[in-house]
Amino acid sequence: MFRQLAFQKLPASPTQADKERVATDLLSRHPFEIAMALETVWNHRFVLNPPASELGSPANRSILDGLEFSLPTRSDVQPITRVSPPTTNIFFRWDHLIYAFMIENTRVYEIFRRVVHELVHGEKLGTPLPDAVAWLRTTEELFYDDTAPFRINNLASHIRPDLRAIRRNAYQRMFSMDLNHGADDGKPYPYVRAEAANTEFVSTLEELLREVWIGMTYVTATSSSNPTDDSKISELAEKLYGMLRSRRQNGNLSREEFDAVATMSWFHLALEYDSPIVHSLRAEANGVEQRLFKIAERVALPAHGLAKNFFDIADPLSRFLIQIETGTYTNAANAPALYTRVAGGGPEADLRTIITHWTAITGHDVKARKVSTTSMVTV
Amino acid sequence: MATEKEKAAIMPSDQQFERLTAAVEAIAARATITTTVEPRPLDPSANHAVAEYNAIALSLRTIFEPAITSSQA
Repeated sequence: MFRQLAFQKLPASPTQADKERVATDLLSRHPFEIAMALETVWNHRFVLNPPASELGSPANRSILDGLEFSLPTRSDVQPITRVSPPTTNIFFRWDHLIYAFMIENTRVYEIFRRVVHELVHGEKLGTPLPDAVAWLRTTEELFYDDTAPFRINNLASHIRPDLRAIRRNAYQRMFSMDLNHGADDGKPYPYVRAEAANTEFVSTLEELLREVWIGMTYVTATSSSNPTDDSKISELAEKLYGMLRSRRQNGNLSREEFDAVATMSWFHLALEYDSPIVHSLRAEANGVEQRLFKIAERVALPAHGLAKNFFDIADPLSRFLIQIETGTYTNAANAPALYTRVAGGGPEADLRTIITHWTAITGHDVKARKVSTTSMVTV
Repeated sequence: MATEKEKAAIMPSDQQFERLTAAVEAIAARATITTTVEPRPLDPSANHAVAEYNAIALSLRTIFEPAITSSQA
């Protein structure tokens, strides 16, 4: 979310310095401005015209309205988004919930929670740099506090007071997966588990990745039999489509997804370069995960050892699941797009990345052929 | 303990060693697998899926990801 928002502000042919300047500008804005930018993104969410008939689809995520509010802007400060209603025709798309799940698995939220705790309670980590002071304020107010009323991502209430439990509930319902870490004391994190959950998400996704890998293996074969099964790929894609879209009926879970990906992308952006908070914590390094490891060390809360895999899989898997939810691959004729390298990009390269990192983080080798035992067939 | 004569009988001569090396290299050359995968054409339906995927990827571009080339766009 914020990584995409920052992209909107880049000049043509940006240098690394341009990117860092834009990102730092975004990370040091007033919390209210950040909050209003989120409302703007929600209000200008991607909607096909005319809207896709089924509410909850990637082309029509929700029917709810965000706040319509424009901030008086200072002449020397550019607004965060390029949107200026009512003439604008800019639309935003946000990442799939799986993005937030993967990023949160690195333990980034808990680590920054400790960072904020230390910085607001004492000087054990030193005093933050001027830009980091602004980041600290925004982070505490927007991501570790009950959100202001009426905002689109104001989820916490007397009914569900814990932001972390809200996200875990959404992960459980959508993917039937829980984060790999519990509470700080090592106990399982308490949250409400829904009965209606996609319990077959992991097995179906893995089966799909396995079939896609077979397709990749044999796509160039010219002198052997080809076990690629497009109809099985489309059947598995349809199964995923059905379960994901079932959880999203009428725009269900859209606000939870919006809040989760916004929160995680805020921290992800702060780690993608030597940002002010990274400088403040003396955690300069090469690579997102290396910065996280250094910060984790400072606050004595280890990050997940496979953090790099989680960071690397988050974006491709998000893009892939969004397309799965469009229903494109329920047609077997489209399945070759998943395993065929074509001029002009396409999902093949992302599927390779997903297969590699999924194998690493789950320990389930989706490149291995499935072995089945012979038994009597009953119908 | 092997004598020098016995050792000489076991160890290959220089000429034998060269022939062996050449044979191994020839086998290795034949065994080299070309891993370059050339772009392939797809049918129009699958091409539409590729275009849709690229559109999703473009709408989710992030600030620090490598530049997307015009061919991908």
